[in-house]
Amino acid sequence: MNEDRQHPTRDNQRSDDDFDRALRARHREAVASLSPRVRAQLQQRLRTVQAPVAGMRRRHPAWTLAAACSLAVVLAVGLHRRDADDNPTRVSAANAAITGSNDNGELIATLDEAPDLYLWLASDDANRILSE
Amino acid sequence: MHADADRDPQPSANAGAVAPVPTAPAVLDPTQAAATTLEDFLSGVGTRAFRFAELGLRQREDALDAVQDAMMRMLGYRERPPEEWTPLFWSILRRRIVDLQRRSAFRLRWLQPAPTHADGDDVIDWADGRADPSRHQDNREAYARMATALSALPRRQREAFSLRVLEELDVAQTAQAMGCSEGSVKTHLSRARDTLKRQLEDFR
Repeated sequence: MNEDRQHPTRDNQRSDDDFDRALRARHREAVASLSPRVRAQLQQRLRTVQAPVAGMRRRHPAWTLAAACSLAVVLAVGLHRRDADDNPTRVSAANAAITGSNDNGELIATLDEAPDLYLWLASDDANRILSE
Repeated sequence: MHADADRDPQPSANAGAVAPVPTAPAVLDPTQAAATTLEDFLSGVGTRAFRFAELGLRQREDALDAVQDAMMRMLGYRERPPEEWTPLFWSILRRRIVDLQRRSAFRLRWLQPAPTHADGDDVIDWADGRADPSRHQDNREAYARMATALSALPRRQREAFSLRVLEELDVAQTAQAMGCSEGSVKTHLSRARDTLKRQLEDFR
């Protein structure tokens, strides 16, 4: 009984498989029968698609080198200009400090030029005078 | 109702006699072969992709555009494992064809009749058969009939049949490429086969 039911199913399956196989064979033949013109166009389009990628790959080291060189030049120029800008500032700041403290400047200069004063300040005479 | 069905004329009487398909040696399916690079994969799948696009678009230039676009987009998935390339590619191509079909329908619906596969030279691309012109003509007409029947199917049925039967994707890959469940693939495939069997009785 079961076999009777299965036979039509099996036949249908075989029929489907035969049909699929026949159409697949036609399709394969159609794929193989593409005209040389379309094959050439497909190849051309495939090359067009792949060209930017290949180009980017080839250019990649060159771009890296160029970018590194550019960065080095920019850094060098930047550092150089920064130094040039910073030095006058420091000099002028020092000048301003000196000119700003002009009153004490002479005293400091005197002390620097007379070390005997420090020796006298440490002596007993100086202590006595201070204690009086 | 499927719009394509109204536009496809009946096949010519000459095309009724189907020439036997020669028993070809086992052709290694390029899409099934283990392509190690994406370039190899795209190079191998190109001609099959063109036939698939030609069935859906019926325009040589549109079909070439669709294949090229799909290949270009496929490059974005270069990092994916090779076993994912096949369903991915067919999915991308399928969606691209749908986009072009919509644009074409909008552009040409009122301007000119849609071309059909039975129109011959303008639609079905076929190499010259100088060695055996008679057999060449029979084969071409037989394929034109098959293409007409496939094009007349609802789009999802055509996609299921083309991918599962003609491109030999398995059910899971077909479902992935079509963006639907495996059950839906089987349903579409069964309906497509029933319709095609009625129209292409002599192919069996």
